Parts: sequence; structure tokens; C-alpha cells
Amino acid sequence: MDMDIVQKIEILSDAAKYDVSCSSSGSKRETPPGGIGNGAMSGICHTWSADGRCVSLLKILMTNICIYDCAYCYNRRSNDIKRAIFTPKEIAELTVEFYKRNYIEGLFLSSGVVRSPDYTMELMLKTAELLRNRYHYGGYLHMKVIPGASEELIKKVAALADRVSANIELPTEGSLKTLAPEKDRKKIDKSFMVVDELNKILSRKNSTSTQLIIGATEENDKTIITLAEGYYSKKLLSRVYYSAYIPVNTNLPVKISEPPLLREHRLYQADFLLRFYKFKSYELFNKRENLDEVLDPKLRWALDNMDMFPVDLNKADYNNLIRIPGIGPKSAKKILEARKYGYIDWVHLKKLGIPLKKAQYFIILNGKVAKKTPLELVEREIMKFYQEHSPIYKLFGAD
Amino acid sequence: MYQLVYDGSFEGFLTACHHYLNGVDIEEVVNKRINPTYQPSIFSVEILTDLDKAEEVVSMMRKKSDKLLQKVYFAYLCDRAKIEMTVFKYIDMDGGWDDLRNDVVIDIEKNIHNLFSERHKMLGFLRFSEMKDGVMLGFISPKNNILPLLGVHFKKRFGNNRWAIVDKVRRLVIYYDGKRLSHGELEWLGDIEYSETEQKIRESWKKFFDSVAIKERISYERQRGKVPLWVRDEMIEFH
Repeated sequence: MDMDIVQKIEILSDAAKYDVSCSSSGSKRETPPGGIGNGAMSGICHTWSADGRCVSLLKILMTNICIYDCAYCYNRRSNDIKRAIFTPKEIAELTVEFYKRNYIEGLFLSSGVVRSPDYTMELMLKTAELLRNRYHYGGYLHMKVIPGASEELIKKVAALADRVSANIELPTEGSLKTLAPEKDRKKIDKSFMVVDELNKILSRKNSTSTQLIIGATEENDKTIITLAEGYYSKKLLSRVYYSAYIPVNTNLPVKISEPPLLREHRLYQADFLLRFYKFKSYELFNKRENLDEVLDPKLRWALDNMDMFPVDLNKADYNNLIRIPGIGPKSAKKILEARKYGYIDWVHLKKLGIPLKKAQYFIILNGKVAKKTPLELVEREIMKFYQEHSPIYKLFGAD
Repeated sequence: MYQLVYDGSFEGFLTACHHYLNGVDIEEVVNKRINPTYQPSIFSVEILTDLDKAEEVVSMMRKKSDKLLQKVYFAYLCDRAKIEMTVFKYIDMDGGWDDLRNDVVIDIEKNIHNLFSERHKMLGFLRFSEMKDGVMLGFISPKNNILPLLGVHFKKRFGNNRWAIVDKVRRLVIYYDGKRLSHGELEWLGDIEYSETEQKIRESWKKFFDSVAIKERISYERQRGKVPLWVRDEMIEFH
């Protein structure tokens, strides 16, 4: 029964890796007296794994033992896999040892449901308590909430954590019923509300996040983005993660051969447009059901709204600047900064390092436009897309 | 047309600037600390760091603008960029240090941006090892001289714990004894004796690092883009 710690790490990080969240930013905490660790406002990546993902947290499961049998999940009870369980002390020690070597920014603790939601939540709470109270650990702590656990436990966990999350898993209640009959969207939403309530009492900013699986069921992009927008506007969630389904099990009703990575990418782009560019979901779809596969959503929106272009860079305000394809918050701020000293011209844009590849088709400067229509750009983007995604190119161009 | 050679210290840098402001015709400035093997020519002059001259330049900058000294210090830390002459011109300006339409300003801002982006990456990439006496020791070989910018972050983070960081390229070291942060030049480094648990923790970290990658999504190209080969020397998960 007594398993080596390295063996446990192998099993329980392997089982946790499908959770995509890795952000550690946005918390500010001083190092506790006699302790170790604080929160950094801007996230820090400590390394990148072989799949090219930022590693900033010790992302691990308390256990991969699970009483549920969700069709999309690698850890479901009917799968014949190696199982392990950590003690709260093991996780707490590992976290502190990793942290003081600067391997990680903190801990992301998730879990399969062992015995009951309450029992699991208690084990996780004990881990958080050990870290915060015995080791005086002040580093980042992200805890998964187990939907269905008691309100009191959820609140205790959330009070100790920088961020909590609970996975919506699938875009609609219907899909959840089919693939994860033991899970219930209402219980998941309820846990968001419990945390929100606590945050209001503690006057903390809500930083709850969630994740949902893309491509295991048949919902369209519009349904998914509208769902995210709903949570953002109610301020129940600060971040939605989209995870292209990796077929870990073979019995799914929807047949997919490989993860829909491009779709995942486009959803993230659209999500960013909601959160940082003040777009509304209906603007991104314009009667379509899905995001454009070939063109990114901002470019697609611009082409749908050519009457709003060209934008005069010497007059436009921040909100209009960031709607120009190819110009993001950084470039917009640079432009505003440079404008303080007088009118800017094409040569200044180069010097400021503003990428013009896309933007040049949508802007006007001192009465001059560089390109009259974006046709050339669209052509180029389409070519690029097919070069990157056509099967023949993949055959020769893959790394 | 002289080639001025300075010792690599900020005071030395300001001394060189003093010469520039006094009309010495400089073609190139060489930082000896990062070019220990430079070949002097008949135009090379090794200048002596002069604290009075440095102080003079500092008070002149203070008179011009409150922010100038800090900007110049950051630009000095970009010691591989060969922008010494640009910085001297920048110091010599009479305003417009924020004017992003000016080439000198842009050059300075770009390099400072670069400096801070390297610093930010190093906040993540730096690895400490636990010594037998409990001190956490880390090594870096950065492109820019970011060591002076790392201290505050780890001081805040690690509480009363003792730690040290060594810049192997410039042979500089910062050490925190639990109370105070000190900077110095590395004279010599004895044999390193690790704590008893060090090996086991490293093994655990490597195991975690390997198993957290999703096999279906492996892309070494993307990984190399984020963690270039040259920064991996001290990152144990790559060994």
C-alpha cells in the first residue's frame, strides 16, 4: 500500500494534466512572518512542458480514485488504471520544497471524488490548512471545488485559496446528462454562487474559473461563447478555459479522431475579445453559428464591418484603436503615448514597433491610407491557413 | 577617436559619460566586465573609475529630470546591447526623454524593455538548490545584467530564509542572510555540498515535469520557442 512519493507524482500529475488552467496571476499577498511565499501580480511561468504549455503550478490530484463514471474522463471508475492517493502532508511538503527551489508559483490541487464530495473536500481542505497554518505558506493556491460538497466546506476552502474553480465540463445541461449523469450543472453553479457570496463578504475580487470540453459534444461555438459571456456578465467567473477533447476513452457518441485544437484556439481568441476588447458575443457571429476557421475572429468582425474603417490613428480613442485587426492593448497604448508629442505618421509606427501586417489595411494617417482594400490580406490569410492545415502540408511540414 | 574601456561598474560607466560630456571624442565604449579578453589597440584608453566625476554626472541628471537617473541605470544594465554612446546622447538631451518619435529614446526604451523581459523570465527560470547549511543557491548566465533587479523579488518572497544568486558571466553575487541583502563580486566558490533531501526533490520535480505534458500535443518547437536551449543549463528538468 505504501507507495513511493515519486510514483504517486507520476500517477497523479499524469491524471491532472488535462486541466488547462495555469494562470497564477492577480493575487497580491505578503510573505507571512516566519513563512515563505507571496503572490505575484503578474503571473510567472517557471518552465514549459514538452507540449509547449506554461508550467507555473504544481498541478496535481489529491487522488485519481473516483466514484463517478463520466464518459469523457480518463479517471472514471470503469477505467482500469493505476490509482493512488496523497496524504495532505505529502502534498503540503512537496509544495513547499518545490516552491523554495523556485520550481513553481504555487499549487493547483484538484481531485477525483473519493467516497463522497464532502470526504474529498475535507482532504483538500486539510491540505490547504496545513500549508497556510503549519508551513506559513503564502504562495499561490488554486483549489478545485467539488460540486455537491457542503457549503461550509466550500467556503472554508475558498477562504484559504487565491482562486477556486469548478468545471462546467460540457456546454449544456443536456450534454452533461448524457455523458456525466452523476454530475449536475445546478450543483456546479451553486458552488460558484457560494464562492461569490464569500468573496463579497471578504470584499475580494472574484477570480473563480471554470473549464469546459470542446468537441466531445455537438454544441456550436455561439452556444459556448454565449455561455461564457453569461458567466462573465454576472461576474460569477473571471475566466473560462476551453479544452479540446482528447479522446481518452473510446465509447463516446461523437466520434473524433483528434483534438480540435484550431477550434479551441479560435474560442480563446473570441473569449479574449469578450474580456479585454469589450466585444459582445453577437458581434462576433453575425448570423453565423460558428467562428470562422480560417480568419481570426477580430479580422472576421472587421471584414463584416468595413463601414467602420479606415480608423484615423491620430483621432481614435483607445476602444476604437483596439478594434483594429493587428492592434492590441499594447500597441494602442503606445500610439496614445506617442500622440502626446504631436501627430504621428507612418514612419513613427515602424519606430514604435507597431506591427502593420494586418493593421495597414484598416487605418488612415494624415489623410493617407496604405492599402485601399483588405482583399490582399484575406487572400494571404487563406493561403497561410491552407499551407498550415492541408493534409499534404502536414505530411511534410510537421515537426 | 578613442576606445574607452571601463570596469563595468555603474560608477565607471558614469565616469566614461563624464569624459563624453567634456568633449572627449569617443568612438566606442568597452565594458571590461563582460569582455575580459578584449584586445586593446593604440586608441584604447582604460579609464579609472572616478567617484567624483560619477557624482557630478548624477547631480546633473537629477537637475534635468527626476526619472532620468533611473532610466540611465536600467540602460546601463543592458550591457550587451552596446548602447553606451546612445545613453550618453540621451543624458546630454535637454528634455523629450519620453518622446517615442526620437530614435535615441526608442533605442533606450527597446533595450530596457528587453532587460525587464529577461528579468521577468528569469524570475521563473532561476533554480535554487538547497545547500547542507540550509542556504538556497542559484546560478544564472543572463544576457543583460539583471542580477541587481532580482534581489527585491526573492527577498519579498522567501521571508527569513537565506539564499544567494550568482551571475556566472559577470562573476557577481547577491546574498540574503535573512535580514539584509548584499551585493558583491564573486571571488571564489568552494565545493558545493547539497542537503540530504535535494536529490529526492529534484527527482520528484523531473518526474512531475515529464508526466504533465500531454502526449497528443507534444511540440518541441513550441517548447524551444519558450525555453530556448541556452537558458536550460541550470534548469534541472531538462537534464
